[in-house]
Amino acid sequence: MSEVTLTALRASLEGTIPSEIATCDADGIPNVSVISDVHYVDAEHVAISYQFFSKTRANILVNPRATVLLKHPQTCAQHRLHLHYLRTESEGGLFEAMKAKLAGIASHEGMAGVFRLLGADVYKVIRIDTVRPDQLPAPLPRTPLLAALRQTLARLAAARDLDSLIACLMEQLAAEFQMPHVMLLMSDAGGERLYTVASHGYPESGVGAEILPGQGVIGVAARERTPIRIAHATRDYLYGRAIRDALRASPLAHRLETEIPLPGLGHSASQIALPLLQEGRLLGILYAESPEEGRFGYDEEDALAILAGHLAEAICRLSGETEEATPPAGTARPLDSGAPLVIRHYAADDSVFVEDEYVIKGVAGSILWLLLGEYAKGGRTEFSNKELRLSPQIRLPEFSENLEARLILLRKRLAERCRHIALDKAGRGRVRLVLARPVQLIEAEA
Amino acid sequence: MKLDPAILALIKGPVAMSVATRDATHVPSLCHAYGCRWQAKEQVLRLFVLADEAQPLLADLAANGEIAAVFSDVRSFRSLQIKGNDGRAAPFDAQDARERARHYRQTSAELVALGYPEGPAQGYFSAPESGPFVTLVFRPRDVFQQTPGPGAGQRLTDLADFAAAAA
Repeated sequence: MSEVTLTALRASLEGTIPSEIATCDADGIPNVSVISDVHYVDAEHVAISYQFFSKTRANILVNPRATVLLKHPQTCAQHRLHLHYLRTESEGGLFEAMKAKLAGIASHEGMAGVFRLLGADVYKVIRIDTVRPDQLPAPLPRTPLLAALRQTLARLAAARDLDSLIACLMEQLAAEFQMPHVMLLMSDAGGERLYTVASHGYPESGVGAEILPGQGVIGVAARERTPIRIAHATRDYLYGRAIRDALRASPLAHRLETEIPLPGLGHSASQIALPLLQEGRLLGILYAESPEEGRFGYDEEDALAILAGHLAEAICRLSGETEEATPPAGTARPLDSGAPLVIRHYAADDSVFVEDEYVIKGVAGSILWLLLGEYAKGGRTEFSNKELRLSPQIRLPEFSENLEARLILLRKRLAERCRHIALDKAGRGRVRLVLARPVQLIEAEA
Repeated sequence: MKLDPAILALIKGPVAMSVATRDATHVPSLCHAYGCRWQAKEQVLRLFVLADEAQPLLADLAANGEIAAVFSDVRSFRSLQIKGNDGRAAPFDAQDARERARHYRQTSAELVALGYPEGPAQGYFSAPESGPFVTLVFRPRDVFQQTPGPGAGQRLTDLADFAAAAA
């Protein structure tokens, strides 16, 4: 019989069934304790949550040998892991991933508030014994993840612009990965906040909704640049709460109407957030959730992490979209008759209100204000991405120049919120402002 | 030591049980136990293990007798640990077999009531009728509170402590 590998046992490392750990003190007295989480680190290491200064912890500090009994949640197979304690991590990606997972387990077991992670104790796996083989057949995988990944990567590689890339991503996640509730968030200047550019499976798209690093599953994944996954709903990581907290602390708390609610399931039981990284820089977050507990396991995390890697490359490839050689003439089209639309701009946060209704703020807000201003001055309606990128009026962050993502955000917000103004593509690397009514622009006092 | 009624009530209830030993170099081993019973007259605890699963533990006990067992209520997670230093293997008798069958029925039914699918709920605690089982016997020397939380690991010197901690 071939030797069992740690990677093959990951279903037993989800924290679905509590495990037990045996240690031994300097006097040779064994100790056995129930533990809620044995976390897969890599093919040769696991980490165990350190929550209290327990006898287990005292023992491993004097005698690093430990043995863990794992149970498979579906097949009921049992395995003994022979471990050697190496170190404790109290910050960083592993710590945060375990903290989030533990919060989910604690909530699941009715012990929220009891479990608090002090550290991730990292152990080397010396040997694995099969104590009892499968008692029940292993369930068939719900989705053939490799096939879904292969097809999705091929389609993403064929995308010609960021718009179609994002649309394709949303469709593929719903159809091929059977993950119908997903969001894509892009990182703002220097990763200071994330804004939603696309979503699938929610009554409101939530495009433009923002989240700060460190808040909720999405925010922690962004801050730590590491996947965060929760198998059971937990109040600690609900982004609704994160947003409310952020709002209260925000200097713009008095302007609540400029906050777009993040979409989300009312009864989200499983959540996963993966960072999109390019040379260590955070481009955004891919997020999926499900009303079903335990929906995202280690295999789903692997598949989505590969997808996130390809997505980051594709976003970079398509963000430097070049313009067509001969730009079409940008002349104003005749406007429908009607009273002028009153459009207000608040310079403090570049928020734009059309007929007193909030549309957009931030960089996307400054783009809209620039386009409207140019139109009001000389009737221009067509603009190249290059001139927008170079405009001193638009405060694009120096190192994350995702102008295209902001144009997508602006286009979607206009489509959802303002039927008299649209932003169309006017060829490669160009946009066209389409106005159904005359406009009256007002620079408002803050 | 004598086991208090509050402790006996817990270990007779729907609990998951595991037992640990250690070898001459202080490397621990552990396996699942499929039931237990308290022999009041002899004041010993009897734990039922499958011989195949408990091989390293049987070798350890033959060498040094050090033993620890944890009992964790599958519904409430109330847990305690009982330790001894005179652990030994003994034949699995008819009364052990009846108690093992009762424990299996009770604990798997409790898991089903908690919402676990029937297959796994039975699989966790089931063992072949024919075993072969071995009974691990020891006199409790210490009892520790083991319910997850900051109080885990406290020695229960006064057995009323456990009832109080469990309340």
